[in-house]
Amino acid sequence: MATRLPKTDVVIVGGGWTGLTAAYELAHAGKKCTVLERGAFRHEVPNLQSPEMHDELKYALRYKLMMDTQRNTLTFRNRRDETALPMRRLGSFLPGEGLGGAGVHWNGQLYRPLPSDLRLRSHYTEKYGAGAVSDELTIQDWGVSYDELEPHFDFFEKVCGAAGQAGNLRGEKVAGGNPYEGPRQNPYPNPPMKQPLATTMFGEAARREGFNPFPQPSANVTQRYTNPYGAVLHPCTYCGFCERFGCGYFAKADPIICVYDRIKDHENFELRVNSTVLRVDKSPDGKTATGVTYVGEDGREYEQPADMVLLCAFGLWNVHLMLLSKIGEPYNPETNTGVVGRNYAYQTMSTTRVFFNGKHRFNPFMAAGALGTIADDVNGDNFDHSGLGFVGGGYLGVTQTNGRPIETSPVPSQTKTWGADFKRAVREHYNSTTTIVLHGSSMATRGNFLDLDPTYTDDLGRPLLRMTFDFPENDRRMSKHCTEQAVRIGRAMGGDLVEPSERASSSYSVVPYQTTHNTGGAVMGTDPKTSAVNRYGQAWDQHNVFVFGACLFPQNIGYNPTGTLMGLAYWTLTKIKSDYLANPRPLEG
Amino acid sequence: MDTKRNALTWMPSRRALLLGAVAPALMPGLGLDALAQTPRQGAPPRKTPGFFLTEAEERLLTALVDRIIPRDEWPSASEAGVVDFFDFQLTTDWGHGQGLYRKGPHTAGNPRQGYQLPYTPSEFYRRALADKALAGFEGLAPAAQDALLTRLEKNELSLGDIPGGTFFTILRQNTLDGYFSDPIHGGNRDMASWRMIGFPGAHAYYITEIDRFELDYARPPAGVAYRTDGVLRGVAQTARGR
Repeated sequence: MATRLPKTDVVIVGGGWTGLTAAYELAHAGKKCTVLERGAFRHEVPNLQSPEMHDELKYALRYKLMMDTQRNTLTFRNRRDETALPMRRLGSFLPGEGLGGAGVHWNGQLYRPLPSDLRLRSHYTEKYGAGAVSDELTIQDWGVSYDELEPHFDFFEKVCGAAGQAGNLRGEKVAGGNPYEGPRQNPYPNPPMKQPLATTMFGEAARREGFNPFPQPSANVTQRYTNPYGAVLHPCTYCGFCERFGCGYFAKADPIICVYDRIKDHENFELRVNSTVLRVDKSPDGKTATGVTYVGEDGREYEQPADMVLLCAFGLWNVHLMLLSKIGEPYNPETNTGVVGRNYAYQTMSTTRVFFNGKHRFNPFMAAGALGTIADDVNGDNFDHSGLGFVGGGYLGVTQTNGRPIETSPVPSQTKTWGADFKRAVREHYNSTTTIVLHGSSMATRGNFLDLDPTYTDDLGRPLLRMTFDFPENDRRMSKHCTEQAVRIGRAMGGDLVEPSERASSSYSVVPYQTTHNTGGAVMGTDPKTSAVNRYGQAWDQHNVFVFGACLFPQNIGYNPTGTLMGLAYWTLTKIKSDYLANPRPLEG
Repeated sequence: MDTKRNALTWMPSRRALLLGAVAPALMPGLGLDALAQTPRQGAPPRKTPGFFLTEAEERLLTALVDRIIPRDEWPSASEAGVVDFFDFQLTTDWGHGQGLYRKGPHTAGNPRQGYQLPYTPSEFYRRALADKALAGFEGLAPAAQDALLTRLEKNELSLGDIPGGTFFTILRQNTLDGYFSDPIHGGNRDMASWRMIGFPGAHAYYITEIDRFELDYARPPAGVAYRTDGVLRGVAQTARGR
């Protein structure tokens, strides 16, 4: 029997980027906010300090900052006619756990979506005709425009102290930036990262081949900076321990230093760690949520009543909680009805290795999470899709994120992966090989979705989330087309050997790391038949439940998701503060 | 300066390494004085029990990992302490299943669904190394050892209910883990693998070097706890955290 606790105004599930930001904004709006985080408390000091943090085995291979799959995971299959089995270890993606969530071990690659990304189906249909979008795809518009979100992208870039080069300032093209980006009202708050040899060579070769390279937008800060909340960030040291690690230098924007530190002492803020939410509780008529029930630090169940419930867990677990709590109708792929779990998407990655056989010293260990030179010429609809047979695209780039030796053994595919030849090849190629990445979009289909597993359960006895996913034909074509461009640039760089490897050339596997960009499952939109929440992230049936995160994306864009999902978070929070709090009700679509 | 000279200035000494360097660095309460007095580089082997591996397992594992990373002008896997690394890792929480979802039913599935065996790493290695398919492996000639490893890699041979390909993939990965990870975990002795490829280690700060093209960065590597010149760094902190 759960112990009933005193009521709070807002209960927030998850203490990462979206949850802590929601708490900051609503606490300052006069609402008592209670954040429930399933993982432990942690902080830059003392938990993320170097050199102890720079232990590749502990953090990058044994996942010390990530979710504990011993307690909770998901099951996976490629197709509905297969039996899903548990993802017994982390692999393809790495959700976080503990204060700050995945925002602690992210890379800080900070993008906005293209304006056309947000009205995807309309854009392609208008430009290329009704047949442009194949029947395989269930892609749709987001219900919110770039112009509506721009102030919020802008503000989150300031929260992070983002480093980059504007390419489109209030409609004026700016040399050196991304010429395809939507108009921005302000430049990035900090100058771009310094560029090392490999990314510079990529930029030069890409320009010669007719592409438009620009420095990767980065939440690794380039100079001492104070964010709008008063948090102080310091210059990135290019240490090469960024993704999968926390930043002890206070140089990578994360939710702990950028947000939590600035709200932790506020009278309206409370954080409870090691607290796993079991379900959202609903009123007898089902029209509102009454709070949540969770298992606390002491292992006992508590009922936390609240006026509002904000789902701010990692996207997958928001969907899990909605399915467990019956917030919205579960998606049924047979009848193509229901909405929760619908339009799960991912990211379509390819890597093209460029070998220089000892002719260069790239020093890959000098690196940062968002250190790179990017070309956006084959992203979104930045190129003519006529006759190509697919929608979408992705950015190409060389990103020098690390040279950590367990993870960095680039050898030509002809070389055996063990033995004397392997050892010699690692030695020869470690310092003179670079990689062009394709960071491709992922289109939603009827067959890719999330639901509850009928067999396997977590440590609290709840059904695991079940993922059914494979790369759609659309994305396989996209990957092939765009990877050919990567090979072209790799050859122009003068590589002795240029070897592409496409994830989408075979079926999706949950084993090798690809990205932690799991999207959809609780998508936003303007039609309750095809979206789980309205365009403000508000549940259609329970107006005091709001959903945050990449689970809102109707399909995935060709960019890293954090900039977009935080833009959406501020969009939702602004609507809550300016309208909903004074008059709680279902908001107009 | 050439940090790659003198790659083989010492002989393997797994127990000495464990007792002399690894264990104190990971145990809270051991001060710097105690650590400074423990044998490290070039210490003679000591006949004491390991943490996990039996002597027979140790002999077999030595032979296996030395075919994954054989000796050339740089140390083999076992010479760099990789068997010590296994011995210690298999006693850790990871060795006993941390980060591994263990509920049944256990079904083989397909390779894209990942590891599906019921065994923790310590159970996995104990079972696999006892299988008759590996009996006498350490006595085979290197070519015959490679032929057997290739059959495992191609999944043409299984170790009881452990598919050969699963065993090979995990063995190879854990061998690389030990060979290339920070020496506080027992492998990568004298940071030989880092010197081999030119990786400077855990003490990383390149704000003035990042945009110096073709820079020959020859600083000797430094681990979480040690530098190669024997200077102790941050040892008291290594036991912090989980």
